[in-house]
Amino acid sequence: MAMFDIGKRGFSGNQETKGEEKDLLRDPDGFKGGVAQPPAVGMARHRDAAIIGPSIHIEGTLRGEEDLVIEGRVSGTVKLQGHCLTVGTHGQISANIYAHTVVVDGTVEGDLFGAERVVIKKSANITGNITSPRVSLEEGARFKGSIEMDAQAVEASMGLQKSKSSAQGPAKAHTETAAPANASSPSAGEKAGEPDKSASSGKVGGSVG
Amino acid sequence: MPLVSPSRAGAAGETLSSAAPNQDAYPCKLLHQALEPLMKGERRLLLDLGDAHEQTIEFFTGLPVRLGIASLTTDLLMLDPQGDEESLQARMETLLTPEMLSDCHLVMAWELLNYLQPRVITALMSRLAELLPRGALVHGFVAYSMKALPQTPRALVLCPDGGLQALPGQEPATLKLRGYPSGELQRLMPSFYAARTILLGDGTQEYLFVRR
Repeated sequence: MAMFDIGKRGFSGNQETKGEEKDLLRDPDGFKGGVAQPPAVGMARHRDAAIIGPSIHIEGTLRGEEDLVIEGRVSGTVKLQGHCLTVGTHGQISANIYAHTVVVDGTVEGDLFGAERVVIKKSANITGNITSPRVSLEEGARFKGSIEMDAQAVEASMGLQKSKSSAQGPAKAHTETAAPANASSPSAGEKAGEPDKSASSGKVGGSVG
Repeated sequence: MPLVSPSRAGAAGETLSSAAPNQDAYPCKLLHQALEPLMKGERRLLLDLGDAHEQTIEFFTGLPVRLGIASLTTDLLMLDPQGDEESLQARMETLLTPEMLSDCHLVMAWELLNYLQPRVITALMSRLAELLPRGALVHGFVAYSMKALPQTPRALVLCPDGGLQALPGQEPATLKLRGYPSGELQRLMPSFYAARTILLGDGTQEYLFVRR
């Protein structure tokens, strides 16, 4: 089993940080000169967010009930229903991502589903489809794929996601048959993402292989 | 006729013509015409052959649209026009997939055609004809009286008033214009016809091609 470490960083705590993790905490969005700054609109809430560091590689389904910053490599599926996922500048994701808000600074190959918003920063490199009612892209970002902005189509996709997240186990998840609004459906992504059996619900984590 | 955008979030009743006009932008009447159903609230599937740009995505936000970004400019410019037809076709099949184009209503080519060799235009338009439904539109500009073009196509973005504007930082015009008269364009793309063209003041002609 691959080793992985997920460090949860309290915002006001005096935790000592070392090496790469320390770099993460120097993110100007959340930390400026050691003084707390409110998150800007459309930015990830790094405050209290769990962090997957640059040396971590996770394969499988990553579920969580808290905000998450990924600076490492993740392949499979990422599900943070109701929370914010930030793919940091070092982050390399080969997975479909489902979250309340998705902020991408790094590299993503896969489909992005943002119930509230998807924010693509100028350093991002994305190949995949985006489904979200609000999408913003900074000039200079590299993106190849489609952006579904039709409110009805987005709602249909997100509705499907909600019902999936309430499913209690892989058997039920695999029996979902609701028709998605477009070709880049979450169900298709699910199949591509595989293996749901390894998911560890409730807490960010889950590594197989 | 004003283009009404009833579904744009926070801007109900907004019209393209009512937005403050951008003096530096192309007026693009034919693009407005192609986007009119979308602005009236009809769902549309669009494909931009160029790169993703902040302003263009912002323009479409809140509208019932699926916007595809093919980001193909560099790939198409690098295609070998001397290569055999089969390899050109095969490459085109890799670049333009059915997922991108099936049911697509409008392809935005903009300045790309000025930069492609005749055989590449034929291969591109043949591939589009294979995948697009009958009646689908391709919008673009073809220079007719410019002496030279920038070395690469300019990055054009949609302004709030519906005009197209080049992003700053464009290269100087040093590339000799090949130029495609409308008759030659027609010969290069037999599966399309030019529904309308408009001569623009800067030596460019705006085209709206229709899939036969």
